[in-house]
Amino acid sequence: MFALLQSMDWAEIGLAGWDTLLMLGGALLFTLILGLPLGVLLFLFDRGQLLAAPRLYALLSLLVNVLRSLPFVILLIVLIPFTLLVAGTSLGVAGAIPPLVVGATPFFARLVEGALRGVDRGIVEAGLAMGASTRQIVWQALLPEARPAILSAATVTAITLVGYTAMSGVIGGGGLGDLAIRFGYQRFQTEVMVVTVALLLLLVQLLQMLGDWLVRRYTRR
Amino acid sequence: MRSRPTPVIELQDIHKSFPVGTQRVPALRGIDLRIEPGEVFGIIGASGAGKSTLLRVINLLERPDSGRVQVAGADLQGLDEAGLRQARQRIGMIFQHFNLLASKTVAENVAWPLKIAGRPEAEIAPRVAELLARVGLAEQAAKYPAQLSGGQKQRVGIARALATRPQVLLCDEATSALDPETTRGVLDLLAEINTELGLTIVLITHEMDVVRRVCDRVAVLEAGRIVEQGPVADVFLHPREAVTRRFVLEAEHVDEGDQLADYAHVPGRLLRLTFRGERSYEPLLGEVARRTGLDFGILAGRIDRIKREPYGQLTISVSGGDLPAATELLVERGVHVEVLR
Repeated sequence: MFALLQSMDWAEIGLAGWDTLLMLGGALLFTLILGLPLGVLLFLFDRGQLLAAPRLYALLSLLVNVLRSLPFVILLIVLIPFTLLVAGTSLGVAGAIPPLVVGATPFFARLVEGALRGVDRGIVEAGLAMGASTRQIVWQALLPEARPAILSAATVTAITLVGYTAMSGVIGGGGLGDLAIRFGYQRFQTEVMVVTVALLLLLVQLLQMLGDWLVRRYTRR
Repeated sequence: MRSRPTPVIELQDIHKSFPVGTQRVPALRGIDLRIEPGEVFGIIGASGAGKSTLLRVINLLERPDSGRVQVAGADLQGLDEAGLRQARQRIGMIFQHFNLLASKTVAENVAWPLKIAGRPEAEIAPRVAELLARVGLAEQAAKYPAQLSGGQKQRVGIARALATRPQVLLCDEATSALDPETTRGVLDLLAEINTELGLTIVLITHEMDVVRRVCDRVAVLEAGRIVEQGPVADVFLHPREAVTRRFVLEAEHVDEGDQLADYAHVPGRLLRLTFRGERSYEPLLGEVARRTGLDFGILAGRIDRIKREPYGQLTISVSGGDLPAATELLVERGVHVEVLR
């Protein structure tokens, strides 16, 4: 066992681990930045909400559903021209981030929409009765009240992104998942498979623990 | 004759309906209401009578289909978005379920309307401290709502509603989620605020006891219409409408039908006497009995207060003696006499 671990190319694994972290970090950052406002708009445009606009809601909702229904592997390929445009390359870590963001943003936006729906309607009514504007109600009441649920949504999104990064090998994205497929599966190096999967598991565990800790920290019930 | 002051709230012929399926169901059907500065005005009604909608018409959280809404001299429907937001800052509101921000401390909750109004930070902190002291929660400033009791939460709600020094306070079933003792505390606080700040209070409730404790005038709402209104003592002691009688009897925990059936075997006539003010404490019945030779038995009675005014209401059986003379004497002394049988 010990000999087996020694015989492995740890430099390769380290590099793949680093690539995974880069893809995850970059994609998560942009997903949160784009998904949060999209989720807030979905919530606000819905029937009976502050900016109720049924047609706009239907349009946004359709866009989100289309992106969510495409398998990620297909998204990777379909988006190559777009990726070239925004990242300058469709390969490697930089080439993987745009499709990861496009794949995860609608997912996160839906979760944010749900988190905001979970806020007691009475809070919005109280804000309106005090003469608050929609912007004030969103920033000063809805987002703080939904913060634990949004953090929990961000955790789920981060973990989903870890899964997506494994497929980035299709476009030469690299990362642990790619390593597991190329060496562990295609070259029958079971020990590489075991180690990479163990590392991915560790990453998911750490993300979940961090997320749970953040949720607890901001829950006041 | 007292001159009528300008009302602080005036509603004229308010109609409001809600879509249900393909139809529109009326919630308010021609409401006229004048509420004068400094009074505590109660609106009582069963659930579904439209009282919650009516209260929300006053700050235009519900826009009426037709009719006029004037508050503190401003025609609310004529205002633009920004104007309406400013007008709402002068109308406080408290809620049955408090509607506090769970993620913010007590102090931050009370500061919220001041932040909305764009007051400077330096002004907010002392104002919040002053408000919390007024509602008796100075010690709880750093706590979160989840750490407070229901009564304390409503006190935070009241402090928050008073923050921008409104002229009007709207209370949406403010005590319905509280136990009787806590309810008393919150109602006492509302009465205190009304006297000390001269604030006009409009409260909706389904409990006559709440009305009896704090209101000056009351309107009874049934199926979107005001069926009876007037000073609380008049409405409470001499209800004209069946729905009003039900609310009064509910407050006294008696059933009128049962009561009359219970007295079926009692001989003689049955009278209900109503005393108001300090007269409630006078030894009037004994005197009447002596002077007219009337025999009486007390079947039921209650001596209590309506806001600050004491009142007594007795159901008595009478026999022998000179009944017309006795009635005349009682009426002369300001007692309201009602012949039940």
